[in-house]
Amino acid sequence: MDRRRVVITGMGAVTPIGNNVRETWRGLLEGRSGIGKISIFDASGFPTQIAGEIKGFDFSKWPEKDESLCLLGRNSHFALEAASEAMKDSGVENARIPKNRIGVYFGAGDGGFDFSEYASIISESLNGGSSVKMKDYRDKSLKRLTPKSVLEQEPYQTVNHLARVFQAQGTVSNCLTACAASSQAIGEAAEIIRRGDADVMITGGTHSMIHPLGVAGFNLLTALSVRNDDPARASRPFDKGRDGFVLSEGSGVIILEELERAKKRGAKIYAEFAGYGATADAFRLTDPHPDGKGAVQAMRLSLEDALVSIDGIDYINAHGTSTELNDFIETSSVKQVFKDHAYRIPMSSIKSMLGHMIAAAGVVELIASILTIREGIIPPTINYETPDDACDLDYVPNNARETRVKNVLSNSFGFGGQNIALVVKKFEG
Amino acid sequence: MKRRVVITGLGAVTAPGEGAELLWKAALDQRSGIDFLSYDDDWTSVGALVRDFEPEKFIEQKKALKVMARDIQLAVAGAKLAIDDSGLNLSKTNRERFGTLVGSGVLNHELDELAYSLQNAVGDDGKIDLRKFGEEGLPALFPLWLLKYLPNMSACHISIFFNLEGPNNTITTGASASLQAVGEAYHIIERGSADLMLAGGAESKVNPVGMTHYEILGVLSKATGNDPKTLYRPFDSDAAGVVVGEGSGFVLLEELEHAKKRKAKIYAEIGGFGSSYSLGHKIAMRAALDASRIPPSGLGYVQAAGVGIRTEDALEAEAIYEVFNGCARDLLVSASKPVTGFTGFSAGVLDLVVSTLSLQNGLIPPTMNFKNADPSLGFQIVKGEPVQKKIKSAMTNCFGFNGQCVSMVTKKLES
Repeated sequence: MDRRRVVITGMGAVTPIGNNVRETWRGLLEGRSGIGKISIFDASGFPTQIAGEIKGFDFSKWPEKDESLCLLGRNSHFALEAASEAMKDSGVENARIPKNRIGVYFGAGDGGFDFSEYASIISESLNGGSSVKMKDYRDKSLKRLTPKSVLEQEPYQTVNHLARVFQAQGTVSNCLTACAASSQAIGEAAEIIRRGDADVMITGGTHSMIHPLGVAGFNLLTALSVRNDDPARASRPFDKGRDGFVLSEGSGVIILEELERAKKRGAKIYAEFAGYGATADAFRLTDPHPDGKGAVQAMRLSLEDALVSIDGIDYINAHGTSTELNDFIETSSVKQVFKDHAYRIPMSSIKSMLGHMIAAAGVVELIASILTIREGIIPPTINYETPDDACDLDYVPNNARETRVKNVLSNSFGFGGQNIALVVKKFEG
Repeated sequence: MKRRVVITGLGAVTAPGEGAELLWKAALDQRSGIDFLSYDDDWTSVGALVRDFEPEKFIEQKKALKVMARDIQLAVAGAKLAIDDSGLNLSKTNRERFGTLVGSGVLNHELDELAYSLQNAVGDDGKIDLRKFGEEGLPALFPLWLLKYLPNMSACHISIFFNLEGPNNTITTGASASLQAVGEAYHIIERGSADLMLAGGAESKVNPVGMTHYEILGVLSKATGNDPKTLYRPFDSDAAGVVVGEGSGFVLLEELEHAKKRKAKIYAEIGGFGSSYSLGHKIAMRAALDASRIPPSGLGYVQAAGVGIRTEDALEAEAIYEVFNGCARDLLVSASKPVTGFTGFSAGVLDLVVSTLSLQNGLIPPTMNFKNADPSLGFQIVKGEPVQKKIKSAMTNCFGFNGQCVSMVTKKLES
C-alpha cells in the first residue's frame, strides 16, 4: 500500500520583520534586517545588546478574547497569533474534520519566564554570604507568585493553549531540541499523518530567549555576535567577518494535511511535505561534529525519504547561524552530500535578516522554502561582504534571485547535536 | 508488514533504590521511598529522595558531571541501567540505527550558583539592577552554566555516552513527557527510522524551586500524620494531593527481529500508543486500545496514572469506566506513585516499568495507602496484597497537571 501523502495547506508567522507571512516574505525579498537594540530589558551591561525583537505586537488581543489566556508568555502570544493566521489561511476550521483527527506538534521553548521577579526573590533571600536561605526563597515565592504565573513557564502550556483554542483533540506533543525543535516537530507531525494517527496537524514552533538569563547564558558560551554598534549587519552567515549568531524571537506555524482530505475539500495546496531525516552527532554539547557526520547523514536520509536525488534539489535553505563553526561545517557537509552539484545549488540563510529564532527558526525557514517554490524567488543571505575561503558555495549574496525551484532542502542543527533535514516539493498532483 | 517493537531492557533509579528490580519489589511490598525532607533548619517537607545516588558510578568524567543538573545525572544513570539490563553488546551494535528520546522540561536551577552572581547585581535601592547583572553578575556564572539546565541536554549526554547517532528528541509535555517519549520512540522503530531506541525520562521534583512551585500550584498533599509514607493516597476517598519524588526511568525498545537475532530477553511487545490534549483521557486510552487491536474486554489490567489529586483521579476513573464500558468490573487497576512519589517527567515511564514487570510475572502490585474507594469508582483497585493473575496485556496511563494525556498498551509476546 502506498504511504499517505502530506501537504501544506496553511501558514502563519510572527517574525522580527513582520507579524504575518506576507510582511515577513516581503521583508525577506527586500533583504530587510529585523535586528536592533534590545528594548525588552536593560541589556546595556551585557556583552551583547542586540537582538531580533517582535515589534508592534498587540499583547492584549488574546487575553481579551479569553480570560484563561491571561499571563501568557511571549512565546504563547506569538504562537496563538501565528496559528490563528495559519488556520484561517488553510480553512480547516470550516472543514468539519473530527476534532480527534486534528493534532498539535510544536517545538515551543521558553517565553513566560519573569527573570526580574525570580532574581529579586533570590537576592532578597541571601543568607549573609552567597548562599540562599531556602525557607526565605520559598516564603517570598509563595507570596509573590501565582499558580497561573508558575504554570505559564512550562513549555507544554503553549500547546495546551493551541489545542484548546483551535479545538485539536488528537495527538498533542511538544519537543525542545534547541535550534532544531520546530523542524523536528514538523517532521514528527508529518509522520503522524503518514501513519494515519491524524489527518491535520498544527505544527511549528515558538520561542523567546530574549531575557536576561537567555542572553547571559549564550554570552557565557561566547556564541552571540557582539557587533552592538551595527545591529542590522551583525548576523552575517558565511561571511568571513561573522562573529556569532544574533538571538531573536517569534513563531511560525504550518498546517499539515493528508493529501486526499485536502483535495476533497478543495484546499489550496502550497507544497508537498516530502522528506525528513533526523540524526544525532553524539559528539559534544555545543560543537558540531568536525566532519559533519550527523548533518550529512540527516540530509541523505531526508533525500532518500523524499525520493529526490542529489541533482534534484534546486535550493537549500541553510541553517546558517553566522557562527564560525556552524557555517563552515554546514558548507563542508553540503559538499559531502551533493558532491559537485553543491556548487550549482543556491543556498541562503535567512537568519541574516531574522536572526536566530532558536526553537522557532526551522519552521519559519520552511515557510520561506515553500514560498520560494510558489513564487520562484530565492531570499538572499544579506550582509555577505567578504568571502571566506572555507565557505565557497553560492549563498545568494545580498539580493533575492528569481529562478525556478521545485525541490527544497531545509537544514536545522540543534545545540546538543540534533540534526534535522526536511525536503519540500512543488505539488504536482 | 508492520515492524514489531519489543521492550528488551528496563532501567530505573528511584527512592526505593537502583534498578528496575528494586522498584518492582518495593511496589509489591508497598515499601515507599517517601520520607521527611529538610531544606533548612526551619523548612521541612515530605518527598522521595534517591538518598544514596552516586552519579560518579555512572559518569566517570568529572568535567561532564559538573555541567549536569541532578535531573540529567539521573537520566544518564537510568539509561545506563536499561542498556546493562538488556545485555546489548554496544560495540557490536550499529549506532546509526540507535537513537534516544527523553522526556524533559524546565530543569530547576541550583540557587546557590545564582546567588553569588545576583549578589553582585543588587543596585543601591536594593533591587536587581540589570545593567549591574550584565556587567558583574554574568561573569560570575561559570561559562557552561546554560548547558547545565537546557532541557535537551539529557538526550545529548546520553547520545554522547553511548554514541547513539540515530534520531534524538526531547519531549517536553510535563508529567506525560517520558511515556510520550516511549510512544514516539516506538513509532520511530515501527516506521523503520531506527532499530533500537532508549526512551524514558528523569526529573528531580524535590529541588527546592520545584517543590515551591508545586506548593504554589496547591497540589501538594494536605494529609496530616506522623508517617510520611501514608500521605500519598491515589484513588482513596481520603486522597489529599501529591507527594513529590525524584527518579529516572528508561526502557530499551528494539525491533522484534533485531531482538530475536541477538537472543535478547524480551519483556513485552508494544501493542499501541495513544496521545491527546490535556482533557483527552478517553481519547488517548481508546487510541491505544484501537492501535493494539485488543477489545476492552480483553485487557485485564490498567496501571493508572493515579496522581492522588481528587479531581484528577476522578477524571481518570471516569475515563477508565467509560472506555471499559461493561467490562470495567473485571478490570484490575493499580497505582504505584506512593512508592516513588510523583516524579514528574519520569512518572509515566516508571509506571511502564512496573506494568511491564507485572505482565512478565503475572503479579499486580497493590495500590499503597488505598483503603476506601471513592464511591464513584466503577472498578476494582488492587489493594492490600499483590494479585496473582495471568494477564496477557496491560494499559499504562499517564495524565495530569494540565499536561497532555497519553496511554500505552503492552502485551506478552506471542510466539
